[in-house]
Amino acid sequence: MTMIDQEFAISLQQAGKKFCRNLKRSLYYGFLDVSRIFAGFQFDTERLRKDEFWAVTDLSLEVRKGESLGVIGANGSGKSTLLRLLSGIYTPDQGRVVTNGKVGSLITLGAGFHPHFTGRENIFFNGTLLGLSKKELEERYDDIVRFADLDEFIESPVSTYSTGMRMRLGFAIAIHTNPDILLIDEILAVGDVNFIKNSYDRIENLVTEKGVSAIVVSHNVGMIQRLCQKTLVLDKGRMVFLGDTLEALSRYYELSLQHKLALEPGRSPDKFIHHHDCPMQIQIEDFSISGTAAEDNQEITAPGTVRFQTRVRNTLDQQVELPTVSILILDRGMIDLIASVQSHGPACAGVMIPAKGELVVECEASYFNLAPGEYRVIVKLGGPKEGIFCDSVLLTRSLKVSWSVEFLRKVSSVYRDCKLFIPSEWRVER
Amino acid sequence: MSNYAVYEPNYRAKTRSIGIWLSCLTTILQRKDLLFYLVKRDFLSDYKRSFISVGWVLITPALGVASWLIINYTNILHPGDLPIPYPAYVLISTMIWRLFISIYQSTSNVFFESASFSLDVRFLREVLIVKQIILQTLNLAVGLIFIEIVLIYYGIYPTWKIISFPFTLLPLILMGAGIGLLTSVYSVVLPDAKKWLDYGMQLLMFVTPVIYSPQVSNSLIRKIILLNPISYLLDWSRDSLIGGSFTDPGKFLISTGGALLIFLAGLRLLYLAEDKVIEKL
Repeated sequence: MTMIDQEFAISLQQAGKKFCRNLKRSLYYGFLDVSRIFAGFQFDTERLRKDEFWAVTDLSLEVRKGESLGVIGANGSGKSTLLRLLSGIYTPDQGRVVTNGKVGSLITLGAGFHPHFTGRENIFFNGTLLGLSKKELEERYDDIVRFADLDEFIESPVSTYSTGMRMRLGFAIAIHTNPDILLIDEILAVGDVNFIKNSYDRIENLVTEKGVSAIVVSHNVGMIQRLCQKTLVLDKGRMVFLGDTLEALSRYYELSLQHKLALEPGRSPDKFIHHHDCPMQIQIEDFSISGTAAEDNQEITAPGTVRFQTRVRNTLDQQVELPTVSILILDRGMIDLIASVQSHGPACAGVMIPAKGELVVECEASYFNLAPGEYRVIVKLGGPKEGIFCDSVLLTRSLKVSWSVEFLRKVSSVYRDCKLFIPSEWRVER
Repeated sequence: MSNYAVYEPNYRAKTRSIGIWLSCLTTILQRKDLLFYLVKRDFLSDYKRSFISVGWVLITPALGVASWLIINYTNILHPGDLPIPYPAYVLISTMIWRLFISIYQSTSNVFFESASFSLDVRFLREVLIVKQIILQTLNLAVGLIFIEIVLIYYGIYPTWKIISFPFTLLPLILMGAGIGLLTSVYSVVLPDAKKWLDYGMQLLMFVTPVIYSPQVSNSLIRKIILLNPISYLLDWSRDSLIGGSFTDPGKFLISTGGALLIFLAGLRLLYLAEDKVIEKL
């Protein structure tokens, strides 16, 4: 048996869980497994039988006490299965899962609430269900009611509560169970702004002040970013990435595009990913970043002049008008749009791409000066005004920007955190 | 209490039976507050929206008895020699039988009862089973008041044997819960089996001395009644209420041992198979 460091809250060692796609076969396997277990036989759980698949497989990670881990991935990537493995609801069919501390679950709030009983009565039903004793609940009762903000309704039946009120009460009870490990699954989708803010604050307080470890499953990247230092990206039950949250969000976005991707024959998947939803009659054939300040493609020392070159191809048998070319620069997590340039103006207006022909569209930014860091670049052909995006690509390599030593000497360190320096000319009049 | 948990394939199968039973007992003791609130919630929720409220505990057996009385008065039914008047006999017997069958039904549905949150909360099904036993026994306890009034009306006064009533009832409870536990697991993975067994349990009443005496005139039914262990358990419970003569103590003890074994086997199966069954809900 592997020794587990006591500082670890969660340890997964090549853990996996399988399910069966076919209902009747699933019941048959269940009958076989149950009968074997009852007869005292142990059996090979790692073998996949007909119609079985791994919902989560070969997952190894460790979460230290007081650390929070975000979990992101598309629907069906294994996020909920992972939470159920951690909460002990599912037993792994592969590897092992170790939890070191009291596990609190914010998976479904208000599990077991009885609609005909009052909020007060349900606090005691639900609280004891989550592992609290009557004495502990009596001690925490006022705090729960205060947090749920249900003072005047606490003696009313829960059936008269709105969805948001039930959520508040469920969250308030769950959060007062004083867990060491908190499992959170998309629970803050309902509720008013104040409740969501209070809930975030409370979870953050538990993680940062009380040393609680949190596992946060959410499609809300803001929540993941705020609560988690590191994030796990899951795809079809496998770990794709585990590490820095911003990098993970970027990988997740890239992955979700790849799922929709249409990698054309002959195209290099290393350079960019096409967005599948766009019609491809007018395609982005190539894209490059270069300029006087460019040391290497996609590595820029700012400030300086930067040229973006987009090679556009028309696959139709007739000439078509050049659509708008948009270059979007986003932060590494692909959450915030930092800057954009678009091909508006006389140079591009009315330009026709010949039938089965190509054009190179060049954009020169004479004072390109983003703050140092890593960015993601998306290039789009067309736009909302034209009714459609003809093609859209995400560059697989991030754009790295650093500042020249001369510029660094000029800029006060206080202002170095800003994302963009606006080119400006200063005059003083007397 | 240590919160260090290790989950790996077959980890439940590695636990010895004695460990399983001790673990169930410990869980129930540790979660006594949950048990209290679950009993309170379910007992009150049954009557919360009813105007007759807890009165249903008395009305249900009375209505149940009515149909048997009508059949008896039409002389279709030949219940055999009875130690007490037929209305009192059938009232006591059906109430005890109802306890047995309702414990069977509620324990066999233990996974479906908690299905809505089984995948969200690690639920302690042993607590749920004890809750069901307490609830059904509470219902019987309230109904006992009605039984005693009827018995006194017929001139049957309680004797010292009434003290043994809870003890004679225990094997019947264990038998009902044991069969229910074994069924609960298979009801999820083999739903057809549960349907067959439910029909079987309905038929079982007719080969148990509930609506007629063990000395019923039909020889085949009489033989089956004598082979049926539940007959002895029910007989002793009834005898303790009417001050009857506890017959066949050997067979009662064997039936009690059998009930205990079935209950322990049911608990073992529940523990071993719980996680496999939850996946199939």
